Amino acid sequence: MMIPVFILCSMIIFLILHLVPGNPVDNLLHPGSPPEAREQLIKEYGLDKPIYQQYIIWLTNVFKGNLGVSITEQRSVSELLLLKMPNTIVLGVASLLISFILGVTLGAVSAIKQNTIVDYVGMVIALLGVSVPTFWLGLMLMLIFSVNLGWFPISGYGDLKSLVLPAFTLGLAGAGLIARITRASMLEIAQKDYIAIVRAKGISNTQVIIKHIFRNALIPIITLLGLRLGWIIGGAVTIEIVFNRPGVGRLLANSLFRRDYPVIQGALLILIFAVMVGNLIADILYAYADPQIRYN
Amino acid sequence: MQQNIRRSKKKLKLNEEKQYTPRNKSRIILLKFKKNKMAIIGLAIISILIFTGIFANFIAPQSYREQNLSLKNQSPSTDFWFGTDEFGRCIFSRIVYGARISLKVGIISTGISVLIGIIIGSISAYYGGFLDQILVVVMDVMWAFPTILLSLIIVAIIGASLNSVIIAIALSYWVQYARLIRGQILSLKNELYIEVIRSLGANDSTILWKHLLPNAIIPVVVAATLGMGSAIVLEATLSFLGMGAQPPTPSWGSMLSNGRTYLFIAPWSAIIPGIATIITVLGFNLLGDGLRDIMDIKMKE
Amino acid sequence: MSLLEVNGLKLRFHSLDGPVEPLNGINFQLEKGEVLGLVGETGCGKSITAKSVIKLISYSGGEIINGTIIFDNEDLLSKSEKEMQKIRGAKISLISQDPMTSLDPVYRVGDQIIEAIQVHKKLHYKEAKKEAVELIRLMGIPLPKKVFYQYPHELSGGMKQRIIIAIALSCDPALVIADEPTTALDVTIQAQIINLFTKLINKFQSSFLLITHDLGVVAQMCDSVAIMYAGNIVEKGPVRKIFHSPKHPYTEGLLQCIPKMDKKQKKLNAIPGSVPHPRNFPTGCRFYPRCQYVMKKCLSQQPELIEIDNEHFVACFRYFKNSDGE
Repeated sequence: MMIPVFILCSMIIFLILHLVPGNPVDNLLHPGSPPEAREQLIKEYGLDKPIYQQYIIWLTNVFKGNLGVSITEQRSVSELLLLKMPNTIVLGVASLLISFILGVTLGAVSAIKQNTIVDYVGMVIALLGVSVPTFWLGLMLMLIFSVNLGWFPISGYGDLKSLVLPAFTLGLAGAGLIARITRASMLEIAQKDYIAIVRAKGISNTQVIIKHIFRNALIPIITLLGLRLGWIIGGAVTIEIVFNRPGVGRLLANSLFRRDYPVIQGALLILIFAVMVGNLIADILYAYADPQIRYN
Repeated sequence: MQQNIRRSKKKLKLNEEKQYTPRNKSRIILLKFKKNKMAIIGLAIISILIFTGIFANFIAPQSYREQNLSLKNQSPSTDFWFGTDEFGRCIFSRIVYGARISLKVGIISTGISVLIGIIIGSISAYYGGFLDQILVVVMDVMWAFPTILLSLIIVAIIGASLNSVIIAIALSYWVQYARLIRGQILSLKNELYIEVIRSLGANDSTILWKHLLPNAIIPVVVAATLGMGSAIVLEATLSFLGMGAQPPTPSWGSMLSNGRTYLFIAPWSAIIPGIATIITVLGFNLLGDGLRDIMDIKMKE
Repeated sequence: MSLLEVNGLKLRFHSLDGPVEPLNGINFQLEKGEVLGLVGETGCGKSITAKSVIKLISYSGGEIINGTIIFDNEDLLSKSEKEMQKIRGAKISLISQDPMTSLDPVYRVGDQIIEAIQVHKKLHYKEAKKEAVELIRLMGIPLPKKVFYQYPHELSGGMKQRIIIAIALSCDPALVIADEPTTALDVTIQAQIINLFTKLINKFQSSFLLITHDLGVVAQMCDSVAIMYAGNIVEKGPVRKIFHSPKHPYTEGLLQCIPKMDKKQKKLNAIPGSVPHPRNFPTGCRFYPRCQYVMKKCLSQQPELIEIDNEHFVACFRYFKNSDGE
């Protein structure tokens, strides 16, 4: 199931980029180069062949692990990606964890203290999270914690300290939606018949909330995992630029400017692949959490 | 808890059932709207935004492109309420004119999105079969694709400008509307069949469409309101990446992009456009949430 | 002295259009070892009565604003939530209406039976499991050890209902409140569950408060019955008396509605009109709009429940003799 979708996506990626007016080789040529040099380069990069041929060649190479060579940097795309991937993965995982831990906690507390000040404040915070442009939040956090307080570095990568601000930026912004859905989910579960029966057993309210309401509310929350991962990967693009982290996101943005096709295609493929893997993991977790799916 | 004063209490006679006429429905909605604080605050913010956009010429002290290099990067003062940017332009004026752009982006891109969504969703639901299956797969794939990446690619193809941002956003966000409409039409299709089968052919399908279609539109209205907020955020993000409005157009996003360069010297030039964006998006979100609450309550009753 | 005595119970729910009071100060008693049926149409307030007895109504947005609930000589209304938790499941248990939605879908049924046992009887898992398996077997479910490990969605409606009954009986409660235990089941399964109930009533010596709209079930299982209409108890007494000579017009109507298998009937009998919504209760006697014996007095005053025969109570002005009321 995943493979045809993956191929479909690769086709779309390939086609879209080749719709772009302008030829990438023009970026490489010095102004005033003779037309023969241009022809030469076009031949070299196989850009003179018909599109479907180019696509087939490219796709077969992809499955061989050969993603082409960057036009601007003369390095193999795979090499570039492998170099930058770890940074993005670390950022993505950390952000996902933070957003879920913060979001679920906030949502659960708001649900438990429904209609009190805590609930009100919690939902306002969650609403802000949904309304804030992620990169702006990053800039503000940088301003407060790096420039004014000096707790964390402004940019960089590799160590934990440089991960904190970027991960928290994405984490905080992402937590808003999760909090709202957690709260709604818990409130909905609390009205269910079986919760009344559980209470009728004489179980303490804490146990009811944790063992039954929360546990059941988790199921729809897990379905969020896949979606949120996609969102975080998209957000990584801007955050890596804001915090100057050398990851796949920043690589993608830069290569878009420079029309560096191979890199654009490669980066997009990797990112889509990551989203798919994430969705797959989310599906597995979901099956684990909901016995009705597991045992059918 | 307070008691609500009921306007008119009809005394029930034996076997009389309350008739709900359409006029009563809209009265109920209006009453609920007044009670819902979120929706009111949201509406207020949006109204201020629209007002600012329309009357920008009168509200802004000066033009958004008027440069005065000797006054560059000044912090907020009585002369310049929001300070000046790196070209000495009045940030307050730029924010005011920026409201127009944000509105333009929000309304137009969402409008196109909804249109595309309604068309594709309707076609998919109405014709069903293989066409529907393919479209559903396409919609699922696009739904999983991060919107930033999608819109980024589209803008990269078309070329950076405010209009291409609007188109890119429209093309990225149509899926949710398509899904909504498709879902509504599918469930309505069932209702229609049942009605037709059970009735003796006396039902006018026009009446059904007049009654059912308004119900189908409501979730789309809610989604579109929230969508406008998302569109504005996305525009800000794309402009921040340099793919949006080109200078000197005062889109809040591009102001943020510029502001980043001078973040340490003149932080207000980055803070203020951000706050403007947040308040605007908050307004749309509050209004959308409020509408959703009102409509849901109405549906339950 | 009764096991359960409810007096003047009044409830209030808050809604968008203002407060609603569906229960109008109801009274009833349940003796030890008795099976009392609480009968009424949908919407008369039976289920909320059930939840109110164990004070679960606040979780559904309701508030007890008046009355007393005396169980085993203790006033339940004065008890704290923690004290109530000791009583729920252990002394009073609840069997719910819809078995399809009454079990937590993410836990195995065996563990759900054990939950109450562990909390109230403080047993270890192994011992609790033994008891649970024994209970499952007692419910007439084959292969109890296998069923113990199954999830609710793997069981049929009838089996789910048996598990719920098992949960209710797991800690030997003095009172079991069964809220329409057979309504959501097929007729054949209904019969099985009723048989099971009669067996269990004999075996467990618990008292039962059986809430239902099915007069047939009442006839089979109950010792006495209380008829509810629009938040009021309009008649109560021993089952045989009420079925043989119903005094309240509503009870008469209900009994007439039952189709007779031995006589020819051209039309099914029905009580004209419909049950009023709690927000639109009529003034005076709440049944007057549908009553064939309605008098002038009925429009403005509500009749109280008076004893007209041994243990037989009615709330109807036809049985009031002038100012004495006898």
